Amino acid sequence: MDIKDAKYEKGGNPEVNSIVVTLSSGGVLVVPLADDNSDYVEIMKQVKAGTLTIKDAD
Amino acid sequence: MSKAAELAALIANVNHGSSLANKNFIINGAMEIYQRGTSFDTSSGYGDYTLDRWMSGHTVTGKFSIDRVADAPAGLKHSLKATSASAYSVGTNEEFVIRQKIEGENCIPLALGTASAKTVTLSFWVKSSLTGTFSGAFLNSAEDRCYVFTYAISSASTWEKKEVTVALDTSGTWVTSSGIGLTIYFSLGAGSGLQATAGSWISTKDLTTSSSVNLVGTNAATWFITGVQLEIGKATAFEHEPNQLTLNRCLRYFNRITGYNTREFAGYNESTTKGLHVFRFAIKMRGNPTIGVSGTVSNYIIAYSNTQTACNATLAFNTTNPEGVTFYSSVASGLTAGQASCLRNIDYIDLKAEL
Repeated sequence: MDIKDAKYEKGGNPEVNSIVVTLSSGGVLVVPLADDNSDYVEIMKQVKAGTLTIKDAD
Repeated sequence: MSKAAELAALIANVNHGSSLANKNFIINGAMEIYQRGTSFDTSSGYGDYTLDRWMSGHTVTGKFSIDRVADAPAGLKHSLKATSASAYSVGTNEEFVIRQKIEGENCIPLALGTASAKTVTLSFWVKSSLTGTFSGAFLNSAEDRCYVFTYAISSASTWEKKEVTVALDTSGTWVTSSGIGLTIYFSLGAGSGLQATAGSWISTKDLTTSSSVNLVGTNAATWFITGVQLEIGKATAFEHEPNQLTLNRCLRYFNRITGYNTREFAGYNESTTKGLHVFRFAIKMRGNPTIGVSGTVSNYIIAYSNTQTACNATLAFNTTNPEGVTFYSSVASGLTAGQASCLRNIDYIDLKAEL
C-alpha cells in the first residue's frame, strides 16, 4: 500500500475510530481500527517499521 | 479422463473428505467476477487485487500487467492473462506472482498441520508464449511453511491442463479462523533467494526452483490461467457454479458499489453540515471493512427535500461491523437537522475485507 498521508479520524464519535489514508494513486481509504482488517494491519506494520506516521485527529 | 475414471475419482475423493458440491477451495477459479475492472498495471505497492480473489504480488512495480481476457479452453470463457513489460533480470529476493489467499475457516477440512492432513490436487488450465518448467507454491500465513511445485508447459501458446497433487503439511502453524489459512502462489519470476527444490515441505518462504521460467525476464511474454481448482483427493472436472453464487462468495471480501446516480444510502441530517447514512451489506463480510472512495469528495452528494449538496470532505465511519456501516457525509452548510436524506454516489464506494 503506497500511502501518501494518514490521519486518525473520530467519525463523529468522541474517540478515534478510523484512519483516513490518502494513497499515492489519489484514492482515499477509511480504515477501521480493527485487527481483522488487513489494511489496518498493513498500516501498523509501516508505523512499526518507522516508514509511516499517522497524524492526530482534529 | 474416462467417465468411469472420473466417477471413481469422485467417489474416492468423497471417501477422503471431499464433497460433490462446493469441492473447490479456490474462489473465482473461472475468472468470471471482476468488480475492480479488467486491466491492472501492478504500478503500486506490493500486492494489488485484480480479478476478485486474485492478487498480484511484485517487489518491483510495473514489470508485468494483468488483464481479464476472453480466451479460454472449451467449457470456460475467460482467463487471467499476465504480460511481461520488459526483459527484466530478477534480483535475489525479488518476486513476481499471482496468488490467491484462502480463508482459514474454509481450510478446516484440509486438517493442515495435523497428522490427518489431506492430500489435495491443484488443477488448472494454463498457456504461455514461453515453454519450459514453471512453478508455484503453497504457503501458510506466517510464510514459514512452504511447498514449491512445478508444472511443465510443453507447447507455446496452447492451452494445457495441469494437475499438481500435494500431501499437505503435517506440521507448522496453520490458521483455521477468519485469517489467511493457505495461500496458493503462481510464480512469474523469483530470485535465487526464493528458490528451493520442489516437492517437499520446508520452513522457508520460497516460490520457485532454480530451473523455472521467469516470465518477467522476456519482454511481452504472456501467461494465461483459468479453471483453477483445489480439491481434496484427485483432480476431477472443474466445478462450474452459478455466477451469482461465485459473486456472493466474493462479496464476503470485497464489494464495489458503483454509482448509478441514484440515492443509495438512506439516512438523515444530523446537523446543518452532516448527514448520517446506513448501509447494510447483502452478504456478511469477513471482518470490519475498509471504505474506499474516490479522491474527489464532490462525487458524493447529500440529497434531501427537493435539493442536493455536494460533499466537501471524505466520508467518515460512524460505526462499522461485518454486517454493515453507518457513515457521515459532510457539506459546508445548508442542511436541516432531523430531515431525512440520502447519499448519492456518482463514482464508487468500495467495501474491502480482504485477507
